[in-house]
Amino acid sequence: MAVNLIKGENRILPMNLFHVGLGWDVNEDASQFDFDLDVAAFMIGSNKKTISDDYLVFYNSEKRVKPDDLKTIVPSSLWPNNDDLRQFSRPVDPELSVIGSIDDEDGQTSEDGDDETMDIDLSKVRSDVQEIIINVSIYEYQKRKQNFGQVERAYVRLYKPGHDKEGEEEYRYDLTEDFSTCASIEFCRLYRYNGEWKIQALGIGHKGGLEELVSKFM
Amino acid sequence: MINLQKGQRIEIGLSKVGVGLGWNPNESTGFDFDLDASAFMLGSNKKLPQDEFFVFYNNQISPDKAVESSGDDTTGGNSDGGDDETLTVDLTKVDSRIQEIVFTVTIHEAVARKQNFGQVHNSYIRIYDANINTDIARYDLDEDFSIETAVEFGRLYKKGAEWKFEAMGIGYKGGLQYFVDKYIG
Repeated sequence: MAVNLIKGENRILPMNLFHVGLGWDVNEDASQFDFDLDVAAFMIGSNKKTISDDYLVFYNSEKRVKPDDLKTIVPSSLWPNNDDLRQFSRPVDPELSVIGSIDDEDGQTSEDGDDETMDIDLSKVRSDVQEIIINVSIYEYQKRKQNFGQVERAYVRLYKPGHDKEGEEEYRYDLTEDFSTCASIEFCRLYRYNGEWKIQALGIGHKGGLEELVSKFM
Repeated sequence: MINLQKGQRIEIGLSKVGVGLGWNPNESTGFDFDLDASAFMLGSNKKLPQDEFFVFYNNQISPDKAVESSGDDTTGGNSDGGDDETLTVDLTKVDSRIQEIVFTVTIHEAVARKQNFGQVHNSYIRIYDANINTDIARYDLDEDFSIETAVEFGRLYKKGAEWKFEAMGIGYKGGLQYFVDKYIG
């Protein structure tokens, strides 16, 4: 049975290998622009900053894997252009511990389920990474005049491989707060504590998009 | 620094101690985080001999002048990384009716603001020897009490002529009113 976390709550993670699913409802008011949400992960050292550029796992990360071979890092230059890169490869950190999502640019991946998925193997995480901040941001929120107030039913969930059905998750966190002035949200953090990995539900909203998180964590 | 288990007792043999409360301001949207450290000075019946032995933001010094508050920080902005609120205790001045001093930390308007300690980064409460500024006990509030809004941190109590400290570490989902009802009501 899924444990529902509340904002701020922390729990011990009883597993190393799991998926992180993020979902949200598409804005039904067909506005001028698509609603492009992106999941990203900052892998942070003890100085509260990202280890290096390679440790921001997001749609444009330099290191990639092909969806049918998640064990071999290939360079982003393998794809002829950025559109192909984001749609046909997944971003990854140098240790292959966090494998980011194929980029969904309009929320069509799933109607009720996860729109973007990360795979995480905590046993592979570089030893000086102290925490991993999983966040969601709206792409080009300024130009498109968008914010999270338009997003409904946003959630993050962690589940073991093969247990992706609703209710089978280990942990789930529904964003119930109104983030109507925000373009990015720190969703949750995975962090080392006394030799174990824990998860904390965050729900910290920011007015800016991914660029604001980059200035905070890099 | 000694990392305490709940309920562990420490021989204190001290004359002056301090209770420090620290936390980071809210860097996100929404309300400020307003944490408050308070002291309840209790007689042998586990109640205040008079209301003024409750030291908090609206009564910053006890009648015997043994417990004094540094004042109310309503945002966590007083110190960057250090204590934002301090209670100083001079055990040589404590009124003879007082048998124990209970320290609490609470979040002001936690329910209205939908807050808990888990949301308050780097929040901690510590008790230290004020003469040499060395920690006796400490809790990381955001880690140990993530879904709570009030913590009974610990108590100094009189055993014979000596003062001892007991770490309590009991979290609650209420506010300061809970402790007021418990020790004044």
